[in-house]
Amino acid sequence: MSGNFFSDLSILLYKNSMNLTEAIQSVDMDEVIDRLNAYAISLLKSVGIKNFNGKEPIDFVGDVILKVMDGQRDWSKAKCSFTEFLFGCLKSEISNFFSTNKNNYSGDLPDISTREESFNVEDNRKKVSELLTQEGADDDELTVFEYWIDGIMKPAEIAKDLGIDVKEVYKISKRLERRLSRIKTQVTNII
Amino acid sequence: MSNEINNKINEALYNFYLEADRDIINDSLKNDIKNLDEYNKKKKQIIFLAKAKAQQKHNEYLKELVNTFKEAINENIEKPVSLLKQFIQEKSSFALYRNLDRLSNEDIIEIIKDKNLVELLEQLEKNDKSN
Repeated sequence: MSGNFFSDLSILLYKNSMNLTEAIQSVDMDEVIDRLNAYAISLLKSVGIKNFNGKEPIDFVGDVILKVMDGQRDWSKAKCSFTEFLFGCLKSEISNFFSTNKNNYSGDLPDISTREESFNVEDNRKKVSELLTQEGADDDELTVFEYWIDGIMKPAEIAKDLGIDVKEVYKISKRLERRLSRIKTQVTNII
Repeated sequence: MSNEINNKINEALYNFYLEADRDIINDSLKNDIKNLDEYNKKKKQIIFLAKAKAQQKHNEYLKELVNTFKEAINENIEKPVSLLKQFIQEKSSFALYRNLDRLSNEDIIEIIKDKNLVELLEQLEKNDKSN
């Protein structure tokens, strides 16, 4: 009987609620929301659309956080940090938004699914590097871009490999992101 | 952009925003947010609602847990009852409670609310399985 007691649903739910309460208390929500908002802006900018049914990036962030607190997105099964979990949920939320509103955005969104996939990654890498150079990218940005395409995407790993402060990699990454957004249309046309 | 290159750039940017230091994030927001007052207002609302929801859920589940303890008392189930007795002994204001039947829901909440029940229940669950 005690086995039933301890596996009782109410206890599982209680444990989940404790975890969620602890999780939200374990992070600086003000800082996490700023970080999520910056990421939402980056994701939304990448599709080149300015109007998202009247929603601002912060509204996507708010929706995601409240869904997590409601249990609609289940934190209890996550095997990562709370911040990382929220990042994953935000990515999925924005992706779902575009899937649901596909008809409204079909003229604007890059149609990745119907584009013929080029298997020559090396060739594409060279073309994108050339475009970045033409757009004024410096050696640092090109180096970080090479790391990304080589599959080394964590700033700390890149910094360690280059023997530089990770803050430098953050700054370079931000410059590179801006540069990439400027050449996005050209890249889409070429590749 | 080709899928593979695009995916790699997306993943790199995901890592960047997840890890970047506060100054970089702040600079990024300063450049991209047109109305900072409006943004800060929404941010405060989100934090308030999130914390309120977390507390609300926690209270709801705490009530469920109290009901489960009540059932255990009524049916005299050994482990939860001995657990509750142990808590009562540790709580001086309840030291005179000999009869668990007399405990109200509020009393049980008072007894269990400060306990690290998650840890304790996990330990008991483990003991239960190994026996």
